[in-house]
Amino acid sequence: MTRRTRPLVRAAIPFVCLLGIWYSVELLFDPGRTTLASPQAVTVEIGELIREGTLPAAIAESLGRLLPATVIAVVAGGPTGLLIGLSSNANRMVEPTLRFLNAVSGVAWLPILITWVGFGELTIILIVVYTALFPMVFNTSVAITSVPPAYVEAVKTLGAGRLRRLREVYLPGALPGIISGLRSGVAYGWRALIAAEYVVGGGGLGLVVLEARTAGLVERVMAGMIVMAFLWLVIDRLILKAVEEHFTTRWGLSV
Amino acid sequence: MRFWPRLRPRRVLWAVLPFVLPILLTSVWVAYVQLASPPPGILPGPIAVLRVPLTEADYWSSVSASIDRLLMGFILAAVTAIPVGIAVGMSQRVSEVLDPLVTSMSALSGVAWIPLALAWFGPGEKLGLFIIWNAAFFPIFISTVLGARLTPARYRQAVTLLGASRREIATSVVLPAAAPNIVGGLRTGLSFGWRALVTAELIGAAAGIGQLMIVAREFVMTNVVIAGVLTIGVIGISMDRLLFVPIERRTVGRWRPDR
Repeated sequence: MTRRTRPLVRAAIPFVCLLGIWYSVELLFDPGRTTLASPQAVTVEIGELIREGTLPAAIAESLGRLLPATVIAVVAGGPTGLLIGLSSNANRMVEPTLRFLNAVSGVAWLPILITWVGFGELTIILIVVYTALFPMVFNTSVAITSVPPAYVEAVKTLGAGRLRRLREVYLPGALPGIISGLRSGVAYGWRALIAAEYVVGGGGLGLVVLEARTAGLVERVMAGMIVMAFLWLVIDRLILKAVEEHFTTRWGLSV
Repeated sequence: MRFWPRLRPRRVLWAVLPFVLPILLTSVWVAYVQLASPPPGILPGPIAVLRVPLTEADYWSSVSASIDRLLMGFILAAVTAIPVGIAVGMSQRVSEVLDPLVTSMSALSGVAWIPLALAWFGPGEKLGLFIIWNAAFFPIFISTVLGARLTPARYRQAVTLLGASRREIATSVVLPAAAPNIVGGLRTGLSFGWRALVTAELIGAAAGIGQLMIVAREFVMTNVVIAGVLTIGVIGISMDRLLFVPIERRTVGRWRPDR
């Protein structure tokens, strides 16, 4: 085993075990096709979904919502977090309201948004933005406040202005925190996306799974869930983690 | 001695600031309703919303159904996730091997299981419990494992030298050391569970405040829908405050004086 393949093999062990348990439960108890589909049936179903084009289209649709929503959440949440991290007055003014809104949770707005905006793309994207926004804001503001004041003072004595302090002390110092805010924002947004697709029913992976459930196709439900998990693993491990590592190593910081 | 404390502008500002935004938002709401007078069913005024707990017959039963289920599912999740998390976290190897599986399962947790849970349990009480358990389990489990792994090895070695069994180490060394992380996990778990429950109710898979909202939406009773939104926020935040702020003060606050 080479050094590169070893972690992959190790990571596969629990999945193989889970597969084994699943297979034997199916075999021993035979819970019936409406309750639990066999691993083979689910594999065949995934192949079928890919072949008929449902799956690629649904994935494209779901990711096509997650991406713009993430961008909006970062663009709106980053500066807000920055502001409330830098100014204790702004923090005092905004934070309690934001905490409350965060507790309301995106999905709770679904019924009213459906009334206002309708069953559509915009409703789903708004819910995802709403959900991803708060981790972004809170993580950014915490990251800014935890930049050691000594650094700021040091640069100040050297004559750095506000902008320079922001660019050369606060932002680099807070970057790991901001990125981890992004990471959990996307994670929460992903859950909200699936929830919104269930409730609104506007296409995407969520709708594929929910429709399969209505039609009683358990193998399709499970296929959809496995795709969701796999897709998340790819997003989190290959994209978000890489971004996180890139920034933390680049700035010479370790988490 | 003066009866009224001297008003210092900064103090006053500080005391008033948190209320600025809520008051502003409410005034915009009132002004919009008064000036634009939107057609009924789009946006009722705050009074109509605040009256819902008094006028809507199903309000209190829905709220208590949601809270009961949330607490039960949450306790179930804590009772299962903490012991397993401690056991897994005490072994570096096991926790590393399990990590990718846990990540992908946790991304799937809660909401994503609703369709399969519908096939298993049908709509109702059991489904709600399962979904909350499922949503709350992973944050609690992951933080417990992390907390257990961060326990300084010296502590464990010291107690082992004194002849402690694995079980004793788990309960009297690792568990207390991991407590701040566990509390954080419980906090996240509760809020995840609450979200997932609301979603399940919105799909109509369980009775409760979410179901009340979705039914009210069909009957264009927008005041009930908005009251539901606010109620979800109030329940979420008061659960957090009532349960965790005291606990956190007693654990994290005491052991980590720097925060």
